[in-house]
Amino acid sequence: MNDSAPVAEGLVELRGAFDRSFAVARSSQGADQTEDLLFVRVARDPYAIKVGEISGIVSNTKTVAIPSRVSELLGVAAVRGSFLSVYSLAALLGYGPAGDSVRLLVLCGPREPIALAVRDFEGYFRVSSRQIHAADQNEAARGCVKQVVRTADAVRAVVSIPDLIELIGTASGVNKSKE
Amino acid sequence: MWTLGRKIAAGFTLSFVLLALIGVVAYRSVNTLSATSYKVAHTHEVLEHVANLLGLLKDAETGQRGYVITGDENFLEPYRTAVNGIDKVVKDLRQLTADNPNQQKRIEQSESLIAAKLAELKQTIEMRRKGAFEETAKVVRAGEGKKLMDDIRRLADEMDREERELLKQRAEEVETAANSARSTIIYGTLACLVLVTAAGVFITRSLGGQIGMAVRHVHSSSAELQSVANQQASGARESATAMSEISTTISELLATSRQIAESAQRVAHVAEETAVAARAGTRTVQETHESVSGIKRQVDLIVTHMLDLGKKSQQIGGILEIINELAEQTNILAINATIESAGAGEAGKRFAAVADEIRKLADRVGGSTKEIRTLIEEVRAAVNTTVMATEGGTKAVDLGARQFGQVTDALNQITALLGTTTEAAKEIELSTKQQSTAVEQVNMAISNVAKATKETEASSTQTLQTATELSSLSRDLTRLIQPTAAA
Repeated sequence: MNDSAPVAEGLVELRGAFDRSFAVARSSQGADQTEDLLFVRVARDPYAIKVGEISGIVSNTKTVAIPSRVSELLGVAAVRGSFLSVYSLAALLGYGPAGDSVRLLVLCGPREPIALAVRDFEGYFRVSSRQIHAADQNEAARGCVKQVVRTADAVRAVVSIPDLIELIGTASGVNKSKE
Repeated sequence: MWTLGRKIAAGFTLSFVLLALIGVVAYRSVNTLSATSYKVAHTHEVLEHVANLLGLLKDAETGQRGYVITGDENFLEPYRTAVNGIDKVVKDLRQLTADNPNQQKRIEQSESLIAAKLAELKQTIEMRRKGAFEETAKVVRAGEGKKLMDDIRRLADEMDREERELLKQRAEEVETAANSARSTIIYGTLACLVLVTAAGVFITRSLGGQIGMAVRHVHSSSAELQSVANQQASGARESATAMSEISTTISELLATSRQIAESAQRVAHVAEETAVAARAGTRTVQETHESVSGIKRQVDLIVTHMLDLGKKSQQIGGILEIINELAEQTNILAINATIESAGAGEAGKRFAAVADEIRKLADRVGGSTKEIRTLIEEVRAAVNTTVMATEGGTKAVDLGARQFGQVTDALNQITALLGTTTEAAKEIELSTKQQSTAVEQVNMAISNVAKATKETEASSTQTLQTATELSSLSRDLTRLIQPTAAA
């Protein structure tokens, strides 16, 4: 019975990689400029979010809907002892009303009590900075996409969290009140 | 329709009747003519007697006168002869005219006158003999004798006239009868000739028509008979050939029947051996049925285990979901740790490396759980397939068990049928032997029939010859009766 051999090999490889990550010098790791990205899908379209622009992600968090004139607002959620306004990333990117199920909340920063609801989370990836290019006019959705990342299988639009926060602020009238 | 004999008989009867009629008429005419001739002769005889009587009286008177004149006795000779003959003549005349009252009356008158005349003659003769010539002449001159003689002549003339009247009348009767007979004979003969000719023509035509028709029928029938005889001869030849073939076939059939009898004997022997084998097969099938029942129990047990395995796989899947969830949570925690370590500056870099590795580990765990889920799904699918296959096997085993039961029943039935087959084969053997005997008899009968067929062929040939001769004869008859038609 050799069916268990790949699992054992995978386990050995996993253990070896884990150990190697600590054995290799840090300087060698920083030889190439990288960018950490979260890969998500919005209405089957691939998108990426820069990890450096968010403050964290949470899952399985209950969102309580509240009445609002902002259609992108799904409700509020309690995360790490704070109330956050949960907005639909798909609605903000112009895909229409938000979906029913929310798998993940992307926290937009400690200073902004905003979370983005994501339905399909594909993972955390570290890509080379050379893979990131400026987006052309067609790829910019409502002004929130300025870059794209080219991977082996697709070209993903990189969502700019600051632009989204600004967009949310414009939609909810917060920016007007500040002015 | 009148028959041929009847027509001929009718023709001859008509001719006979006509001939008989003519004969009767002729006979009657001849009779009448004969009677009339006899009566004429009779009348002539009466006339002769009347003339004789008158002659005798004249002779007597002549003698009387001669004697009176001469006194010579020789002159009395006619007188004496006449006196002696007158009575007889008168008597004969009376007899001859017995059927005629007028003549009888005249004869009576004549007798008295004759007697008176003879008395006067005798008186004168006596007177002359006595020599009294004058007295005698005186008596003669007195004319008494003449008066008597005249009366006698008158009576004789009357008798003569009457007889001549009768003669004339009878001559007319004779003429009439002769004419009648002549007419009857002529016309009757002519009529008879016409009738006989007509009857002959009619009978000839009728006979010609009927016999011609009959001959044509005979000709046609003989032609048909010829054709039938031909067919019969041909059929007889074919029958003879067929009989020969049948005889050959029956001989082969006889050989086949013997082979069948031998085969039936072998079949009976084989059937007995087959019955023994079938009983052994029944026992084997029963043992196999028990084995199949054991297999069915084992298969049921396998199904139960496989169902348990399916349930365990589901439980593993549930556990794997938990592990996957944990891996995702770990991944999220690692991402958050990475983010937090990035926010911690230089101090957080080592932590970030750990968090990164934890995230990778969580990713690998997630990937592994996906692989395990896939494997588990495959296991579950395999289990389901196995369960379905096992259930199919169970059904097949059930079906096999049932079929083994049916096979057992069939073998039992085969065993029973083989007994029947054995008996039937023996009966077939016996029947085939009887059939062989019967076939031999049939063969003999066929041989006899073949002989009879050959004889029939010969007789058909003879019939054909006879029919041909009959046809030729009918043509000859037709030619004889109706030459134009035959031509």
